[in-house]
Amino acid sequence: MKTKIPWWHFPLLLVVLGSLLPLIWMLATAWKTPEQVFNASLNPWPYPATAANFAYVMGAIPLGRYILNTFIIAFIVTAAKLLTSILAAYGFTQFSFRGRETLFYLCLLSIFVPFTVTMMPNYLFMSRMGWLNTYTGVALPQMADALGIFLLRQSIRSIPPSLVEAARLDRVGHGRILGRVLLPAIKPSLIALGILFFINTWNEYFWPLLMINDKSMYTLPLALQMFTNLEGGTNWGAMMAAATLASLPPVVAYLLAQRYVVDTFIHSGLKG
Amino acid sequence: MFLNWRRGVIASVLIGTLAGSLLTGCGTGNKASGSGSAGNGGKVTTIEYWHVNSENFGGQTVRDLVQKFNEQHPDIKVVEKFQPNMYLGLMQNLQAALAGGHPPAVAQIGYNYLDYATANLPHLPVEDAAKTDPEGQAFLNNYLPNILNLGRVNGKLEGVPYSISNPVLYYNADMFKAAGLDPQNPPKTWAEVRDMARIIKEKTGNYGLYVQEPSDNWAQQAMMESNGAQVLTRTGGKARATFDSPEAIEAYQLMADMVLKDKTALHATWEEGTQAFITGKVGMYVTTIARRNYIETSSKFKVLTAPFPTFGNKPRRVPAGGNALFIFAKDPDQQKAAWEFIKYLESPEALTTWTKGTGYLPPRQDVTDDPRYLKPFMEQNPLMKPAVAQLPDAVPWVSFPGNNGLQAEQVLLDARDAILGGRQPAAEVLKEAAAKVNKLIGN
Repeated sequence: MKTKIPWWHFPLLLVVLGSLLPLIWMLATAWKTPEQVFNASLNPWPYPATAANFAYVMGAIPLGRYILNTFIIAFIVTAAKLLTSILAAYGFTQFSFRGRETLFYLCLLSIFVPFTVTMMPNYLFMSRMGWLNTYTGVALPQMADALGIFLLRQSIRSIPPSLVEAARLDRVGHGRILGRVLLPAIKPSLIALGILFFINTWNEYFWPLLMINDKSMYTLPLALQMFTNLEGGTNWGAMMAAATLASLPPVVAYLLAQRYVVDTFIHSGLKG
Repeated sequence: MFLNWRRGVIASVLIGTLAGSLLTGCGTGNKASGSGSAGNGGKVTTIEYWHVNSENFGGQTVRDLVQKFNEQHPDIKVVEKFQPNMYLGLMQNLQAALAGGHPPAVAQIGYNYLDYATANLPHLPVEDAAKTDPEGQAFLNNYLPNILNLGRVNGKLEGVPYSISNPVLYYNADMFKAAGLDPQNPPKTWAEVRDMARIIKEKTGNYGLYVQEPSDNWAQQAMMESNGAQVLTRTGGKARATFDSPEAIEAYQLMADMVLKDKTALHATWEEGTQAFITGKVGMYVTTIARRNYIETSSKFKVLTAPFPTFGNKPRRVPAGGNALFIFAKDPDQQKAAWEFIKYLESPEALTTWTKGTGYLPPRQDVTDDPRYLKPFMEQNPLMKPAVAQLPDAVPWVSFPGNNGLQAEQVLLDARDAILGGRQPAAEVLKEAAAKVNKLIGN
């Protein structure tokens, strides 16, 4: 018996290959010598493969320290964003008060304020507080995210209201309604949102670049720049080796939780 | 299974916040350029040095130099700070740091940002710093006048020229042989370049020439000005774009003819062009001497270099790439320490280390031929010789003045694409572009 594959899977397959190609290229280049990097053929396979790039990267920069820095910042930001999003979303769905919708839309409006507008005020504020080159400085201005509030509000609204009403009739307090009733019900959204926040913060470049000037405080995306130089040329092998090592943790995190991520996006599309 | 979900969330958030507040403590590193480090009374003055030297281009050398300086000067502590994304990245961070009130004491300013930095960023011109030092003038006498000029804006010495590169002609000696050309006789003039490119194309099927095309006009300036043109003419404090002169048009049209008519020259981005040369698809390649090590280690054939070709008997004029050292310190003790550090970086010993580590050319004339300093290195690296030989031909790299300077630069980049892409002849494009640039820079 043969399973029939719908025809539209083929264009999808092309898209998948297209998105994987840069990753394959990164992995392959990481194992190449400088001569092989500029090989004329499009063959990505390094032959003979060399681990020299990885050895060089590990020797040149304190990679463990950078992974730790990146992880700490991504963790703080993710945890803080989730907390603020949960509380705000709870407020916007469970309480009715004057100006609730106005407040919510104002909140959404902040999504459309580009980073370049808030960059300098935030920098000056952090700088006056003496928080340059600190985790606080990088994390503090991004501890709330309107996108998280919006998505969680949608998720909570999709829960049958009777559930919450039943709890209210039983005179259950807000803390328990949130913890026992709502959070378990929106768990997939929470996990997906957490992963999104984590990966975004992990990959963040510009804001850490402004805040961090001390090499020991670098995050991974900043460290990648240490192998490029416009005048002297870029060490592509080393850069790709560093990029490979830098992208491992988020890839692993995604693989572990991908079911939830995909779920949320399917659902949020239907519910709205 | 998820009975403890709620407790889990709250716990992780708590841990996160707690960890955050704890780790801030560890993270509060050095406030190096802070005011708490007055230099008198046996105290140590701490200053920051900002540079663009990544790990693969001088990063280690900077650390070595700083370490040596700190050992020799117990009263000064220099902290080096790498700035990503080259001079543009450094300028952006520098502006933020100045706004925040704690700029570095010393920073590398790219020659193409000299005008901008001088006009917009508060700094101590090194000319003034040198006056406070009895040895200051003697120190500045070590430089060729045209090299010292690279650090001048409107006649005032604002920064000390430090890293210097210039464009040379790299060529593939194996391909020269295959085409029946003599690798010992590289082209000296652009007419010869055109001829040899044609021969390479006929005999090997490869491109003859690629002239670097990054997002600046450095190599193109070298071509136009070596033909007697001036990209920018300053008269009485006013600047006018003059890259539409017959000489400039002739130089650009030659390049366009090689790309479009002869089809012997490649028109591509810098990375593509570099790759084409390294993989043996282009015979000659005009780019910076700073890429010597990169090109030598990446290519499998024998690479040689020749001086930047001239137009007949006209004098060669090659813009200098690289950077000058600027002082941004405000505190007098820090300014003194900054000047001391600059003098060390520009000492023959330190410059020898610098050239070996980066491939830049030494700005001082007393370093190259001295057997104590660079002579052995120059003998081991003959590819450096043409670049050193054309140091007396170095001219300042044009940067367009005023707030629209970057836009003006973009106009010239667009013109390059229009000419080499074959959309219009050089004469028309350059005339239009010059008019646009003159409007942008306030004429």
